[in-house]
Amino acid sequence: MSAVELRDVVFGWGRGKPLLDIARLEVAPGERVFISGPSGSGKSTLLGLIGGVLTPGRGTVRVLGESLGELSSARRDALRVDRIGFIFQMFNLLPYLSVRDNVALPCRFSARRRARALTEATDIRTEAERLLGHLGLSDPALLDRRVTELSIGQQQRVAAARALIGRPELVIADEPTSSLDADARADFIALLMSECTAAGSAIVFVSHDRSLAGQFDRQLDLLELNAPARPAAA
Amino acid sequence: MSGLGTIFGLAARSLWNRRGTALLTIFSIAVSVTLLLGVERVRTEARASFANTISGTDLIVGARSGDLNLLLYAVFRIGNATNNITWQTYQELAERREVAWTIPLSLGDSHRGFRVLGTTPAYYEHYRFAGDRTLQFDAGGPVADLFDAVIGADVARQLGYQVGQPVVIAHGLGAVSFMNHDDKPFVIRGILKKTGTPVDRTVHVSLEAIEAIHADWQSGTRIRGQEVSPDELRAMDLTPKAITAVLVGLKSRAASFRLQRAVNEYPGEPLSAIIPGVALQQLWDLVGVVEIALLAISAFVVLGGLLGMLTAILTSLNERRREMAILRSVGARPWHIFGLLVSEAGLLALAGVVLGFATLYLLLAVAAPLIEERFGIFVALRAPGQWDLTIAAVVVGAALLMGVLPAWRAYRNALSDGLTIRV
Repeated sequence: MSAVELRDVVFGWGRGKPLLDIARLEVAPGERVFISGPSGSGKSTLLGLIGGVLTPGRGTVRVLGESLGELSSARRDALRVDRIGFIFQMFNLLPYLSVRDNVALPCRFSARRRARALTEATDIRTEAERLLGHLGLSDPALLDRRVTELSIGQQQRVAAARALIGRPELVIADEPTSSLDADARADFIALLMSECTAAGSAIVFVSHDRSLAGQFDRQLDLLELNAPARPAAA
Repeated sequence: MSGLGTIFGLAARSLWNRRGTALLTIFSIAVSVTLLLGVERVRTEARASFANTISGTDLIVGARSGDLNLLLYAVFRIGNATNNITWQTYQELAERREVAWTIPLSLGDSHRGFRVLGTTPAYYEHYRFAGDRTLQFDAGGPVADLFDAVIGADVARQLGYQVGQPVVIAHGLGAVSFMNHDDKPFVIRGILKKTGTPVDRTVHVSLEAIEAIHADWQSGTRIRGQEVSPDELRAMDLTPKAITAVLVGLKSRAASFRLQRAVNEYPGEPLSAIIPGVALQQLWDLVGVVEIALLAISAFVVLGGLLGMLTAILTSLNERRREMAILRSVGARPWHIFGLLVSEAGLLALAGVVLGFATLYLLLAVAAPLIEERFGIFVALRAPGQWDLTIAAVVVGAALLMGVLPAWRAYRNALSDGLTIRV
């Protein structure tokens, strides 16, 4: 069973040339894949398809063994909540919750994530603190602070801890480092990778910044993957 | 499973995060709820207060006039009598078989803005209010001498009068009278305990005293050179020639209607007899239209408050798409988003209602003494009743219902935005 499997997937907004046409994309369980591509190349659309938010015009998307096209929207929601963690470019955190509560959020919506988090620690708080500690946010004063008082780099680490709580099998990261400076970026990637490895999560990491690619198991270029974008196909 | 509590908590914290605008919304709901509850409260208290003013009296008899007019001037000291009853007619009435007692009333004079009432000792014996309460003296005792006066609690408090103090009774009804009966000084003989009725605002003297202060007056003006000294007055025959109205107690209440008809058909002079309860009901029928209008206006103000809330929530939706998308990305289902906005509306309304109740009680506590002073209406501070709780439930219910609109839009946004944020 692959973590992600796309076959003959075509997606377009309205009529005309499709935005995405991917013959085959596979991510193995626990694999760490870097997908690069300039802005507008369809990176977010690809993640939308994998996340089950967008439905392809043609082809099948399988995530963690489930064919998304065959699931009801409620089941897709459940799959996403229970087994996938998301990190976005920015605006990841709810401003009105503390750092700790932000991290714990997925466990409030998913019984599975909650149960898995509780195999790591006696309660959700402790597990949230453990993950934050691993990501370099162990200062107790920080945990109860409002997220708006944190630096962008700190906020992204909080978002990573939230994506990882309850050990989802797949982590999807959409340009999570683009608002970080170079040093923070390298730190962040290293921490994210080691935590994904510890949790056994596969990671699909999308970015336009190829300098990060070296730390991943496999590097893909969306321009090559995607038929409409290939110069040969034009 | 993990749904409702989480959503409710998130809604509360999200609101707290936007407490500036949320508070304004809550205030506007609170003000409208206070108004609605207040109108109803004053209405019922006013009715209770009026109904408590007179009890135990079976008939009120006066010169021929409208029933309400007679009730208002005889009991509530509002307005004036159109005409008088002759003393002879009064005596015939008082001597009828079915009559147990009578209280003759003579109105028309005032003392520094308070009405002066000429009456007999029967007043202190038979007058009943608020069920079966009788008039009690706080100090002094009933009228004994021709120039004795007994004052109500408010008169004593506002004018600072003590027992034994001399006062001047004016002719006419103005607060400031140009024609004072200043040559006939009265003495305060007694001060009545507080009753919560117009009695508190009345100066009581004997019927003879009313006669005496008009002895040298004809057609409302003083005749020069005919002043009469107090001692001469004492020697005069001061049997009244006329009185304003009579409160009648019957031996058997069953006779009320028979006697009422007899009085209304009295051949000697045109009279009116009213049964207080029936006349009060006429009063309520009359003011009922105004009450309904006031209630309708208040209800619309509440609707306005709720619409303001709806506008505030709808306007906030766009800037909160990010919040919704984050919630979706951590696992909130679209119906969670729906629930978030409905509970937000519910929370705002609930806070508004609670604040509305608090404001109402605060206002009542502050305003009750003023209302009593100005209008003689005694507003009691009682716990919220059936009506208040119904209003609270209806307001919160309506808010929840209105919350469905923004909730539905956020739900649709959540479905179309998915996890990415397009702002």
